[in-house]
Amino acid sequence: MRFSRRVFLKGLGAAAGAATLSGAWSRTGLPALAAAKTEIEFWSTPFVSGEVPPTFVKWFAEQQAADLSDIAFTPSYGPGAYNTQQSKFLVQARTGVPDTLEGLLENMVAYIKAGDIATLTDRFNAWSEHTQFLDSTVKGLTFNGQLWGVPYNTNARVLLYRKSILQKYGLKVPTTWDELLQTGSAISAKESGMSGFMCCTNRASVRGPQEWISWYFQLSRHMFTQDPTTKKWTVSATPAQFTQVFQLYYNLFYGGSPSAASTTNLGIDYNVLDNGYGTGKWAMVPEGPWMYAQRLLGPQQAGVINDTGIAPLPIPKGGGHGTYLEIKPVLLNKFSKHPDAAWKGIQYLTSAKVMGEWAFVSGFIPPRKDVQQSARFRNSWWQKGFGEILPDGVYLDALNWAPVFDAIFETLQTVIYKKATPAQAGTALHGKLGQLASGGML
Amino acid sequence: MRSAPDPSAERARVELPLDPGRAFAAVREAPRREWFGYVLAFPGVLLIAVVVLYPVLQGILLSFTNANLLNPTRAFIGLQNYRQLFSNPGFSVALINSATLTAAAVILELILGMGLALLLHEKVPGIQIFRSLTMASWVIPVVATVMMFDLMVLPQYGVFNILLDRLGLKQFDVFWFGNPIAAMPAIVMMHVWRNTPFFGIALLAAMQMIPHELYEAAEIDGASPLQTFRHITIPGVAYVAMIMVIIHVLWTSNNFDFVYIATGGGPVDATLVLPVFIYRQFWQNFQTGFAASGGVMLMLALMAFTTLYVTRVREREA
Repeated sequence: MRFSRRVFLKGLGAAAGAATLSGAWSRTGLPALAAAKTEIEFWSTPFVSGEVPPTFVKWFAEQQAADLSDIAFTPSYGPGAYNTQQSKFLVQARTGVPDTLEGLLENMVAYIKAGDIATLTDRFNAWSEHTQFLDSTVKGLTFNGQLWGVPYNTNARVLLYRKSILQKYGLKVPTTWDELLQTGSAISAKESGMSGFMCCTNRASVRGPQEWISWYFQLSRHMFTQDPTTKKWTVSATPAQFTQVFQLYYNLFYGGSPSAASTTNLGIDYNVLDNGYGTGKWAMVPEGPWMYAQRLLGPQQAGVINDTGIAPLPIPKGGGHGTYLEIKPVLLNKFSKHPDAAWKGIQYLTSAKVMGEWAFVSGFIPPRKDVQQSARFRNSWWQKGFGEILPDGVYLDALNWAPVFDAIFETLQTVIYKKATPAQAGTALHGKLGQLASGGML
Repeated sequence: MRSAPDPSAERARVELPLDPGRAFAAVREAPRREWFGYVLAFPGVLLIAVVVLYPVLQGILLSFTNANLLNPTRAFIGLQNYRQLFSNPGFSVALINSATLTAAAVILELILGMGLALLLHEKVPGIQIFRSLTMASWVIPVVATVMMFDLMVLPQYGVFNILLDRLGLKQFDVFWFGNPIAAMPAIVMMHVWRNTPFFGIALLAAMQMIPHELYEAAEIDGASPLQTFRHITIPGVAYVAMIMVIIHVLWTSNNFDFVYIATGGGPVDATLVLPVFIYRQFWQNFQTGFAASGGVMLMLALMAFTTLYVTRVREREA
């Protein structure tokens, strides 16, 4: 028979069809002819969004291929934004994909309520390395007596400030809200083209509510209380406490002449906030350890990070230290078709090797004692600075925070755009949260 | 052997929607005459039923329930979601903002698109390259477009604010997406920037279909350029313009990404449009039933607009 192009194409088509029908086409998109390994899919927003350098993602892909004999992570890391990842997971978790995912604490609570993730209590306790994890982070992921995720990342909101700018004008690092307003205003007045302070005020900001609640945690460590028998939540915060936080925002934008935070930048989100600090547009920001990655963007940003000081967020009169404690867990899809393989994947992701490298390149605090005690973390001024503030961290209660954060930021907008006084906003927010609680939305 | 077509069956086929008796007869006879056509159409009809009708029906049914994404159980609650919707101040704000955004963007796109089409219709050197370049804004992804505008409207550094500063209008040097007065015009600007070329190219195609003899006759009759434009060009492109307006009204009213990425519906709900309102109810409050009622209202509003608009244009044409 003559081997024509038609014959070749026929053969190729038949082979592809047979391979597809026989299931020999793997989720990696490559023929899994030697597929002895169980493939698992892991969704990780930082892997896609660029929050971690692409070099780390490449390193991870290479290392897992070499280290793991019976499982393999597919090179598909999800949609790349936490809100989109949450939406997609809530819709498709029951298909079994992804097998594992990382996320924010707020996401995890939604997944628990939807019944989409598996409890890890027994698996974690049976793991010989479980004692390496910081108790505070494990407690933060424990709800109703069950552990729902393994922590891989923890951090707290702090005040990042430009040492050289404060030094230039003989200013001290602010420790109270009043000092923050004064120092910010002084920098806005003296340093041309620089705002003394800045924060996220975009209506849809994910990070904005985390900043807001950091100030709130200085007044109270809880916003709601849960009835132990009915499990219903009620608002424990007072309108006066909300008013106090709204007043701080109002004063930051309108309180001085000039104000500590420039009103021309109202409405910015975290991308502008982070890059603005890196390019010297503001002197003080409430931020987290991810800012360390700014140093990789260019010499100007590297210079700013080297000139950065780390301090606790200033506190109000009568308040105490408190800040939003972020604990990022790795979770197991309850409907995964390979739960044992997925658990092995979680163990690998939270192993000293992977967590250590991930934390080192990203700048977050590793929630494992052995990683924290390693030389490169002990010697890192950045991680040391954040580590000292970590005990001030307050983790969120296990309730549905999405509508709460939405209500907070909807109300905050009325204050910073002068549509309501801080007192009116405080009362309004208290009412909104009360409605959410009584309506069973939490 | 094929028989000659039956005139009564032919009439019944044409008047199908008006006479159920004839329609039934036509359907009864159809298998004998046109079975192959129905077989060919069946996959398409099935596909539409699966990907369009089923989700729409599901959405409508969902809107009468108390469905919540975090709660697997749901119950029928009648019109409660609709009552809640009309008493929700956010819904009325979103409705007004959606109408404002759509009207402003589509009117500007039509006017500027017409201007662009007239420009591209001219036979001047280099126009072919220019015609190709005009579609560039359509090729750029929406996220990239918003990011680009996000940078351009930044205070001090954004090109628009630098221009304002140079013009002595420093008091307007603000972050446009964060300013309650400037945010909506900035959103309209993005829509217009992206969609005007599409209008331009479509209207240009319509202009090229107008017989040249009409313009020659008008010239012989001494018509002014304005009269020629009004009595020949506009009627010649009217049908395409109508299609474009309908498409863009639907797109702009349904558009979520421009607003959500740029402003999130803020500041203080200045750019809160219906798709963002629905998104918040669905993905932030997880009230899927309530969100579905918002979606149904949006669908009904757009269907009403399309029907009225097409009817009106056809009446005028008649």
